[in-house]
Amino acid sequence: MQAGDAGAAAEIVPLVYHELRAIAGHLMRGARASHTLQPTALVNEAWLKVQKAIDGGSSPNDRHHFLAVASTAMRQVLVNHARDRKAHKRGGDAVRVPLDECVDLIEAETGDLAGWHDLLTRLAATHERPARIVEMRVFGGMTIDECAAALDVSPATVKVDWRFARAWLQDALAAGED
Amino acid sequence: MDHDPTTVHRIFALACELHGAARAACLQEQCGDDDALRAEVERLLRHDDSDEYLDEPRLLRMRAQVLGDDGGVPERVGAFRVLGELGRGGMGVVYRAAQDAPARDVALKVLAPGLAGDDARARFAIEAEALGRLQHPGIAQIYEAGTYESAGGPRPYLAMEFVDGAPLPQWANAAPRSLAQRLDVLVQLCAAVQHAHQKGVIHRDLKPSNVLVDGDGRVKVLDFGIARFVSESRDHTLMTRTGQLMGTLAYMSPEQADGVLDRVDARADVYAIGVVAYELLSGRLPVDVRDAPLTTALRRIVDEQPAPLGQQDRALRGDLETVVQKALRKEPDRRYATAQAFADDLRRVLAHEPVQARPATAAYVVRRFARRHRGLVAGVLVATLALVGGASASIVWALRADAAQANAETEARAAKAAQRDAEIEGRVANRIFTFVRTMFEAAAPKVALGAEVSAADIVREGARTIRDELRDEPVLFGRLGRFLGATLSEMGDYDAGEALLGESIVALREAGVGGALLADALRSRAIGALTMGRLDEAEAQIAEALALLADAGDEDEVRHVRTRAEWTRGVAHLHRREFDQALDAFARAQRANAGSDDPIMDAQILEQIANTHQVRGDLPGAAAAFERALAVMPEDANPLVRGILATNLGNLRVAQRDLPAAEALFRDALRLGELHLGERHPVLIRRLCNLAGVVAQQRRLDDAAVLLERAVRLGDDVDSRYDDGVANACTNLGNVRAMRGDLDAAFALWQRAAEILERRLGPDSRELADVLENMAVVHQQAGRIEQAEALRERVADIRAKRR
Repeated sequence: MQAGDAGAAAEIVPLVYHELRAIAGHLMRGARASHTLQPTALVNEAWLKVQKAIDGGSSPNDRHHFLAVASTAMRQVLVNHARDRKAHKRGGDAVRVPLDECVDLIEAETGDLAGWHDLLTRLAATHERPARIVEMRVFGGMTIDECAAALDVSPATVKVDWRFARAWLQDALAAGED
Repeated sequence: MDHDPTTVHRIFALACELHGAARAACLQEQCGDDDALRAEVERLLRHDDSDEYLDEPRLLRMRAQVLGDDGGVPERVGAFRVLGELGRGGMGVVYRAAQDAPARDVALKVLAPGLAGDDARARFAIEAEALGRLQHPGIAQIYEAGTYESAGGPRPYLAMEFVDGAPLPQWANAAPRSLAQRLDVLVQLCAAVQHAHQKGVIHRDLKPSNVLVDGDGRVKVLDFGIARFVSESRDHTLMTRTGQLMGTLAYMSPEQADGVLDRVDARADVYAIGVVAYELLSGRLPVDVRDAPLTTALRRIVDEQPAPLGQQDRALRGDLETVVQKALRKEPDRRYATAQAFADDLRRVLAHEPVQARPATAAYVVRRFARRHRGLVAGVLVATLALVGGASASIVWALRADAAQANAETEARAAKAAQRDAEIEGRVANRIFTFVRTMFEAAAPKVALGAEVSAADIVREGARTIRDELRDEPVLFGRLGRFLGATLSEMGDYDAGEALLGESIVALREAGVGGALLADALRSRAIGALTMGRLDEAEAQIAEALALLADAGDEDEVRHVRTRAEWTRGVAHLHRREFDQALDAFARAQRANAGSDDPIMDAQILEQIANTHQVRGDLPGAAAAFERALAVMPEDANPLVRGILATNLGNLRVAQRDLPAAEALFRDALRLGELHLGERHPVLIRRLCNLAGVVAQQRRLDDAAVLLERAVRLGDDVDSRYDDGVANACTNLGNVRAMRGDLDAAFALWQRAAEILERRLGPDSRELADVLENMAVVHQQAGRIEQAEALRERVADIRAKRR
């Protein structure tokens, strides 16, 4: 899983997206089963499935590799969803789907996700590793140590990169507000 | 920014660990005169100093909540020393841990985070206490519960007995396990679950991986009631229920999958045990949901009937098949009411004693379909006897089918109404369902004593009960009476059924209940009256039903009942051969149905229009209408209903002398029936007969014989609902055998047909006469003159009476 992370991500994303879409579609059709199913339970389901597909029940030591790849996938899925719902301007009484929960969760930290994603992409253009770390931490919730293991650098390096990226993002956001 | 990004990053990295003077010095050194560069780095450092953006604990919590884990194995959880991870499931993670006092190993189940607030914590404590009170050799003991502060927030944990055993799948494959061993495991499982039920705890997540078997063959069940902790969260903290979902989808009861019952009750556990049993015995799941998308899987659980166990393995035929089938019924009311009852029947199988369970009767099957599919219910009842009957048979059958359908529909709508008017209606609906369930349970002791109790007997007993006990509750009596009365009629006991329907109408009137409920009761009565030939009475009741609806408020209800009332009226006109009026009524029915999204009803109306044309002799018109009916049926509609239409159109083609087209349609109907119901379902008897008839008429007698043989075999152990088909198959196969010269075989078959015909149609039917005549011929050929004479006399009698 270490080598070719980008390739692995490319494989997972359709898988995850497919699962999440199916769930979302199911709920949006007003299936009565929806009220027995917790929204993020469904997201987690998708992840378990994907996880099995990729590393067939990994030992705890390999989990950080899985999370690193998964965070990329998750980002793509969530950003797409965030864009979708902006485009369709769903009102307050629209059916909520599991992806909404996740997007809301993340947007509580980042603000408008689609825009923030663009910002992160810009960061990656000039500072690749810090941007990657942000992705892993925000979408995968990875700890400093896990990022270090996944990227094969020291935790201290990760820490600095992380602080830098955060500072940069805040700076860019502040500049954008002017 | 003009500056080289790497430079900015590098300087930032150097400076961020420094403070005050040291930092200033560093910046001075690195940036030199480049004020813009310094300004940029300083800006970034200022942002860095403010610590709140994307702070660490929040991110970790997000991950814990979204992905269900907060990374890392803790060293201690409460008073327990964590030794290692045993496994990870949807609900959380299980560790092996050591306790000091008492000194023992425990299994520590740490659930996903999300117990924020004292409320939730208190509730968890109470639940855990209830679980702790479960003390049974078959249940993994809960020692204590608590919460611990993880990085991702407070997480509840349960410390329980560490069981050294293999989960059921592993146990099953570790060594050859005899049937007795497997049944013993299942009985133990039931006993454990029963204990919990008696203490008010429902497992909700029974699956093979939760059932451990130790070296001595003792069973221990894990994780009782845990699913509830992780699902009922009233705050907005996100909870995971993955274990409940994916892994256990296969074991989820239909009522859960359908979302109809919010509260899972003990019978969902019974269903889950049924699935475990099916899988343990046959190696397959009753309804295969692995790798299916979620939506398809849920739908299959609700709709798809499992193949009988005997089909998976011949050794499992018979009582065992029936017992497991009963646990797997789609409706909770039809399952074993308790795990104990299930265990008892399993024990009886082991001891070769008669079991309590009864195989699904046709009435049950009919109601199941009625609940799910609003079109014509009983494919059984519509197909005509190709070699023996005519078009009129289909109309009568259609009326009876409609009774079953209307019956089940109205109860479903009543249940829907109950959901709307929660309190009072809910109680009434509950009582009704409880009553129906008790009705069947009350029959159980009689059955255990060896008495032959038919479904009709049970319903009649139920009718007696409500007459006695519900004198003072006209609404309840009215509703139950309508339900039971319609059921009795549908089962063939028209007298009792009509009487009860009449009484329930009176009761409803007296209680001042009007509207859709009374209208539907009247309509049920009307159908019965129609079937009995009391056309004016039927007309009057329909008229009243429609008048009632004129005042009712609910648009949907009105439309629904009006459509069906007009339909019934149309059928009444058709019965009296008033074709124009019939078509008018059907047209009104179509208009009434226009607003609803009910294409199957549309198809049904079109089908009756087709029947009208056919009886009138307008065969092309009939064919066109049948074709439209088929076209209007939604793609994913029950293949059984499509099969009915194919059959009817096939009959028409026979009448138009287009035998090849008829054959294709009948083949299709057969295929659809097999697809939906499996190859052994008695509905196929009639379809096989239809097909055989057409094949025979095209002079392929041997092909016809094969089909008829299959039909006769299917008829070997079915109940009397399928009598007509079996009689037809026997008669016709007898004919074929006779044509091939095997008179003895023919005679035996005709004998059987005659018995059925006499039972079904009485001693004076034309069909019986025909068969008896054939039998007389065989007697004659064999030299048994006296018997031949006797039969001939009987035939003459019958024919004389019929003139």
